[in-house]
Amino acid sequence: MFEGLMGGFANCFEPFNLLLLFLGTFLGLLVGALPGLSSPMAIIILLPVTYSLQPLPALLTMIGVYVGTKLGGSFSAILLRTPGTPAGACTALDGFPMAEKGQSGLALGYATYSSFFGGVTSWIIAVTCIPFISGIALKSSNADIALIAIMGLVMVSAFTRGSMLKGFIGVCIGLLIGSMGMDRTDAIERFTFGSLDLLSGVPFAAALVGLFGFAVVISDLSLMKSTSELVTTKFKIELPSTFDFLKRWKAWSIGGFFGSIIGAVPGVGADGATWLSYGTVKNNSKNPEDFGKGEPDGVVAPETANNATTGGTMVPMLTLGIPGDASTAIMIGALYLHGLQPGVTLMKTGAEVVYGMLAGLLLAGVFMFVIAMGAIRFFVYVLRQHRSILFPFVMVFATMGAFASYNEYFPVYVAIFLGVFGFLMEERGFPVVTIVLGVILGPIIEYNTRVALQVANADWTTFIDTWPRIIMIGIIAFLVFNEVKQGLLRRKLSKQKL
Amino acid sequence: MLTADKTKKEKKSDIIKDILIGFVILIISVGAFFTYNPAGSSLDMGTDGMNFATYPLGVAKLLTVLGLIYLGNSFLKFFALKENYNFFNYFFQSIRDNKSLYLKRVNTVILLIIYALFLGEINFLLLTSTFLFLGFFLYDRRDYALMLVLSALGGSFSYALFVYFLKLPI
Repeated sequence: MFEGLMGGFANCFEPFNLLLLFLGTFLGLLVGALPGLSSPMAIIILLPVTYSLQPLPALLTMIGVYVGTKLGGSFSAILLRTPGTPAGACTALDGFPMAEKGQSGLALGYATYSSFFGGVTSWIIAVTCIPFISGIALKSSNADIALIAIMGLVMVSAFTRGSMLKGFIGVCIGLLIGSMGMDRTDAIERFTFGSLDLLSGVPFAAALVGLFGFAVVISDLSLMKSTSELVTTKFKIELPSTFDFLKRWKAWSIGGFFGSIIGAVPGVGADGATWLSYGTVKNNSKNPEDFGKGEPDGVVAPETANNATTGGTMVPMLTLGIPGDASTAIMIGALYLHGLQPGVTLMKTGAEVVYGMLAGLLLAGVFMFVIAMGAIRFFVYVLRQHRSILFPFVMVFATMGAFASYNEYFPVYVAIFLGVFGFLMEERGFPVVTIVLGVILGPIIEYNTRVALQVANADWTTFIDTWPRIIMIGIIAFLVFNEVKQGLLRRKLSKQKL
Repeated sequence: MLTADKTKKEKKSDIIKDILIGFVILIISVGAFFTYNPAGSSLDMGTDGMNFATYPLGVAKLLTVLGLIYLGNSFLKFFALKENYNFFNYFFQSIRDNKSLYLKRVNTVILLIIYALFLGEINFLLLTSTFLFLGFFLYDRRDYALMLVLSALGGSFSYALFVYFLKLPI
């Protein structure tokens, strides 16, 4: 493992890879700072550029963006009280009051320090866990892989925001979209509607561009008129002293712990981790009444948790092929587009890429720190610009992302259609990430289920003939049962209210 | 009082939107039963006890059940709210109130479709510059000189990146 990681660092230190990682992190900070633009959208913008690259440089660019957006979201949260990313909302609670008190530089300093620390903590956890988990995962059979994928879908449906019913509906729609085209086992066409373009299925890049690119632009048009009145004119990051930061050990250790753990649970995402960390630190504080009025711990805890999710999400993604959030779902798509097979075998077939990504994760954290310190004035300048300049450019890049996947026009039409559909679903509270996960994991579930049944002579009990499989089925059943129970309880309570 | 009334109307309006989405989900799931086999292939079972239709039909059945639950829940919520008001009046009023936003959304989709349709038909540099200019205009920029400069620069940058550097066959 150590040798693999050293090889990963050696690959990352190649000048071209290092440059891409740097540029990706810079773009991430920039996009993260802009309310309305998110990490998935930034990665979508990069898609057309990354097609021409080798897998590792392409993924390093995406990792840079992913890490950068985490801190970028706090800039606007602290200076505008408008978080650049959903996870940044928690930082605004104490970051903005600090800025109002004239401590904007210090608040930005706490955010930068904590983000860096959170990234390093989760990196250590990821590097420790990934070889261990993938060692176990490599021994899994087709039945295990199918069950892992089903469990991933159920977990995403259960833990993603909104009700599990909406999550399940999104997953099912994704599964149907994923089953379009030629069946992998029998080579018979399904849902092609007589179109030759659909024989190879819905282009994956088109689904990503539509659901994470166009849908978000259409939705965020409502932010177009939001003003950017900054609370201060002082834009310099003032790092707290090491002693002061160490003094806040409770805040950063709780944030780092929750971020890493929650990041590894598919569907919860960074916002869940930030709120949980904030709440825990506040409840355990000697002065809980100071929170919300500019308490530095209220910046340290969520920012550490936010960046700590980056390592956590890598664990299920690189070992099991299950993305922890929307950005890692796109990275899984990028692995496919570059001819790699995400999942339990990735550590065997693409170890060089996996270790390179892990090394890049740490280096992106370092770049994030350095860039934020040096270029905060530039980010604040961009933060004040009107979004009417940005959205047309986003649409051009997203369109080219769909086009460049096949060098055909068909994916562009599919992306526009899915963009409108995704917008309508998202507006009614159906998380589009569940649709994308259905598209990614559907073919894996079907193929592995069929192979497992062929091996077992069509005996379905093969899915419960080992302890790990029984445990997985138990987890799936528990999550579904629990949600049904919660739903019934909610209905009972609402009836009582009426 | 007025605020409470508005909140109730918004709530009911949301439930009606939920009902409409519920019908869309059912159309997708029921539609899947009629479109899963466009070539009319035979449904012989394989050695795994499944055929090409088992999986999509299984998902379609599950989606139908979930869609019915969602629709049922939405209807229950709808009937639980006893306040009567003219939905269509409220609906059109809401469109009038948010006319600018809705127009921007619809025009964005139209602009994207036109861009996609003309991609490859018209010179990429010209098309992208025009698209960017119209995009800025659509999003309420009226500083024409800056818009022209930005769209020309953006178009040139896109051309250089996608056509010259990445060599996309546009």
